[in-house]
Amino acid sequence: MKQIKNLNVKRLIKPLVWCFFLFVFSNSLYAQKMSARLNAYGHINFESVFSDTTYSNFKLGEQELFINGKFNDNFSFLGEITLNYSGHGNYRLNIERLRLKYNYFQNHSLILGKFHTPVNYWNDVYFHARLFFPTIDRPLMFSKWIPVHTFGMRLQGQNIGKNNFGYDFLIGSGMGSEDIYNVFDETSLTAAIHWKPIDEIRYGFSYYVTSMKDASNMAAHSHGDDEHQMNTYSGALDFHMLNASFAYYGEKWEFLNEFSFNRTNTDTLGTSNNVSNYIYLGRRFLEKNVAFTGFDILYSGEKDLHTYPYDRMKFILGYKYEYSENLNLKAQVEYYTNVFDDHSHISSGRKFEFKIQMSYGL
Amino acid sequence: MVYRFRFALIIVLFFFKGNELNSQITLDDFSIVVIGNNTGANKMNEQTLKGYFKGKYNKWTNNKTVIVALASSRHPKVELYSDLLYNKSFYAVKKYWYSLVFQGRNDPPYFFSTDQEIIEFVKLNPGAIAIVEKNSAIPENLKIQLNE
Repeated sequence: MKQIKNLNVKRLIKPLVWCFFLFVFSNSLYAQKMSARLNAYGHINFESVFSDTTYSNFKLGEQELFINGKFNDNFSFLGEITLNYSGHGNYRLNIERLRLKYNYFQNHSLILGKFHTPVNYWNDVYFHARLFFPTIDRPLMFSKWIPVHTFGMRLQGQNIGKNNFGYDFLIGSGMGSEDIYNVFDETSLTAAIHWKPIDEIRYGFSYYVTSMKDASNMAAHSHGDDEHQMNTYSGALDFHMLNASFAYYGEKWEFLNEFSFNRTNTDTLGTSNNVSNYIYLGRRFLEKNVAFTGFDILYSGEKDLHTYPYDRMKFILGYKYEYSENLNLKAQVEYYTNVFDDHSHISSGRKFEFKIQMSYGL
Repeated sequence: MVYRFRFALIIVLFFFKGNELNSQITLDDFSIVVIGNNTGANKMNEQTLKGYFKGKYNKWTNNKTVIVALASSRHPKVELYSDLLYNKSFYAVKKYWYSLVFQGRNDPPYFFSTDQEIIEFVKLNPGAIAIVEKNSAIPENLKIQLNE
């Protein structure tokens, strides 16, 4: 009994200590003119699911603190900490980004720490704040194979030349760990390029490679809500991934396409090819209203031991109203179904979902 | 056939000339002055200038960090300034910066209610850049000329 009490106290103390340091430290940050800023982001969700079982939830979403500061003209700091409900009155505290950036020449930087792996537009631009998401959820590929975070070292360049060319080269942890880079255990390499011929358009391509010793460790891409499933295969696996993104955010129209292809290889079953594509199309009217639609599809091959044979399609129809630049309301209807009706793939059945999300930033 | 060709031509022109559509309004058309403090540039073309305001460059050629000063919602000319620099409404400008800062790409800009506040801020902060009306009292050493 005493042990349980101690555990609860420990659970409570940790977030309290974090919050205490953040608030005390943030005061001194503000005092240093032009050196640091503290922001908070979060969202509240309502969802109704209509499938074999029907249920509705009204829940507190991810809440986060974001610190952005400069030590001098060359060195800067960025931190992003989230608090997630983990059941029965408990919350899980995560460091999502923590990085030191050294701007060594013009628009070229060296970054150390934990950051979002810039494999596609979504992961490089939206991060965790739902305020910036065009739809309520992330694309399906995030629930299966996108390595959301990497801990390591990154070379970054942005807005180079007339076409605003950008590059990112990363070496760091693989999918097994987001916070520790076991140099001789599991390494990932990422090479990403993008360019923006005009302000509203961005094209991007990336290549990501890692070799896992234990494929059941999937810490780096467990961002898929109820579409995420645990991997039971604990053997070695080679993973190669190519992504292509196209984003257009104009005054009236918004369009985003995220394409992802990966190839896994195991000694047990051999090679598997897996593919996913997410499309978003939005029409903005009266400046603050966006009507949108989307289509998301994911297929993983029968020999895949990373995500397992899986196929899913999702249709989205929604509406967003922006009260201000830092407060918006989204409502969307989703229909999920499988691509194939055979039993060779894991079947999650058909379902309708209705969701409302209020997201904010301060 | 002719209509199809015309339609295709319009699309092709849109993609190739899209860049230039943004530059239709020029700062020279209005009674605006560009001001900067220790930026290492006394003259600049409009495209480069807009690039600095859009956060495309982190540093000046003299290695000073770029600090962007903008009109706030209380500034009487806020919509004009936003249109001139970004070809967007002030609401869209705030969203643009909000997203850039969260991505960790840029330092946030500073917002001021009057031209006088903007001038004072630029005077005190090396690397700062802004636009103000020509009839404001502006020290000569802060003025940046626009090239053709």
